[in-house]
Amino acid sequence: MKSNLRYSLQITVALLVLFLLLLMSVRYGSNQTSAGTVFNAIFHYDPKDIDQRIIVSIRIPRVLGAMLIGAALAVSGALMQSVTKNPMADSGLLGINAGAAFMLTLCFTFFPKMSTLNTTAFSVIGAGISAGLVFLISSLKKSQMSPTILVLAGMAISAFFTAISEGVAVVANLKQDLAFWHFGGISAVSWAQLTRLGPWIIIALIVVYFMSSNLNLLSLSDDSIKSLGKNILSIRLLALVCVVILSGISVSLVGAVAFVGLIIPHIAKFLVGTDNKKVIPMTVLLGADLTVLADLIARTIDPPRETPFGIIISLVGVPFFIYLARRDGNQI
Amino acid sequence: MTKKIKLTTWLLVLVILIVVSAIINLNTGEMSIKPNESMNLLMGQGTYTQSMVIFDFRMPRIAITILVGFALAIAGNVLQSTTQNPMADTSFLGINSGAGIAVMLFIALVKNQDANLFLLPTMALIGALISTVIVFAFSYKKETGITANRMLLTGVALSGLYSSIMVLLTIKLSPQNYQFVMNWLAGSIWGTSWEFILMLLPWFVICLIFIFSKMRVLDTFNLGDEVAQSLGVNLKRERIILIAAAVILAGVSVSISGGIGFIGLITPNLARRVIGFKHSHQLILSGALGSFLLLLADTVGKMISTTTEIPVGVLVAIIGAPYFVYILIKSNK
Repeated sequence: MKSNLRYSLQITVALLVLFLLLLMSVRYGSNQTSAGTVFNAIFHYDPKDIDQRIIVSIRIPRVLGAMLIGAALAVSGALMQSVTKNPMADSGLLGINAGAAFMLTLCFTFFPKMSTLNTTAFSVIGAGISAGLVFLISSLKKSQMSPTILVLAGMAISAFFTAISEGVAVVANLKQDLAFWHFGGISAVSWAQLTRLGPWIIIALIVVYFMSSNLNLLSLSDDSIKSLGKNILSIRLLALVCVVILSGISVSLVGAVAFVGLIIPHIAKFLVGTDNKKVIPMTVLLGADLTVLADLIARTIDPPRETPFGIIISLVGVPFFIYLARRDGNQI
Repeated sequence: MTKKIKLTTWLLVLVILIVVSAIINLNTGEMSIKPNESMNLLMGQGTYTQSMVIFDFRMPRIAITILVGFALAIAGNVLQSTTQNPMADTSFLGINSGAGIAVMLFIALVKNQDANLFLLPTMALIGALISTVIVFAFSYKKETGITANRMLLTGVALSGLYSSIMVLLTIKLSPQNYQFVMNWLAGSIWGTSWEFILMLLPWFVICLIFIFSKMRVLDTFNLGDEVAQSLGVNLKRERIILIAAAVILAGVSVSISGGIGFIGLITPNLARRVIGFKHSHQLILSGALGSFLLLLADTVGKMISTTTEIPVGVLVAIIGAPYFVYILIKSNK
């Protein structure tokens, strides 16, 4: 009972923080606006006012995008860690980042004038291809997508695609263009992208929430799961499909942002324990918190230039992570 | 008995392959030298330029490639065994990015870089070791010492932090310096003279002898912490010492070859699939695989093009990954 109270308190705090961060993100940026303008832009929108236009057409989609992407990346990290039983896993293991980067490199090299919406489509395809390859390899074995095979196949496939993109980038001389992508930037998220891709993320997040008790089972050995009458393969497969949707879309929108997926699930577990029914909602909120915060810092620290926000994420997230990991009483 | 024969065959084949790639490597490059000419050179006949190219540039490069491949593979193997995590690699302990920061600071701050040939690798080594010590310090807790998972997680987190700092620094670099650093990070063997080998060798010999003398202890890690403890092995201490040896091996390698991450990751997993979990078998096999893979990648790189330098780390992954997947599918374990 006491732990339930503590949990509701933690969730409330995380929600409040998210709400505050969202408001601040909408208000602050390279173009200073007053709180009144923000209020008007939301409730009495006047398209003639340029400040309000900036808020509605640029900042709000960007902030909402950051929120969704943070939640998506963090949850897909949590899923990967459950499925592979490896605390170091994140969605990068399915080759998603590498596949997307590969397609993007090809786009930059051969069609440098392609629009952002099209490159996004291509990187979703790239993410899908490499995730499909990883699935294929691990299902060729009889052992029902065993965690080890998945980890190893994922490592090999992502290293392969990363190497090819690096090779192409060296030959075509576009290293510095890609470097920004690799460290992430949210600037490009528009309403068009948000309305097209956002619903997928939300649906996948809901699916993950409803399968969270099944995720708890994945920490058991394969034999014990079977003896409970559950089908491991279908749980794993559903979880992985969610990972592909969640992080495939996020990565294609903002680049290969490391760490959200790795760190946030651990932070959530330090706070609420190991029950996935609690871990998943906490992961969603913390992921959104961290990404929105990092995006806010990234565009206010050195305006009008943007610092790649993947860097901010690790500068903010890593010390906090290490603090929690070292705190007394936790089990890693 | 059959395992012994299998191991001997594998090693024999690998040695032959290494020799063959070394010969091909010796003959390719900006100045092509025919095999019979290089044979003559080895007998002591040939032009002055030819012998300079062969003896002073290509041979030390080949030797370094073989050594570094071996060392990185063994280091990766030790780390995977001591942490019981097939994803572990020394690059996760911040070795590559730590060395990268040091190299970057050196390039950005020091004007007269050619003054001493050893300055850059020494800086890289110092950077690698400092960053690893930081990882160790943060994952150490009084009550439990250093546990495998905490160390790996802290290592991944901190090396991400180092990479971020590095990217922040790159914004200040000129495009040429940026290119150099990026190629360095992707892994390029550039310390190519006999002096470098002399610098490497003592470290390698000491660490390798130590690790090979601990093969039995490494085996006990497979049994899980509790069983090993009940066998009278002080796991905490052994783990730290063994990892320290692996870190030194990898740090020294990285200082000369840049960040070649994939070898330490892939070769121990390959070796285990082929020969099983006994360290008297898997250590030497992963080392040999590492040497061959790196030398092959370097040779292929030279054959593709002698002018554009494709980092050898890139080729290692392009060649190694498909083969790894093949073994993964084929093996029964």
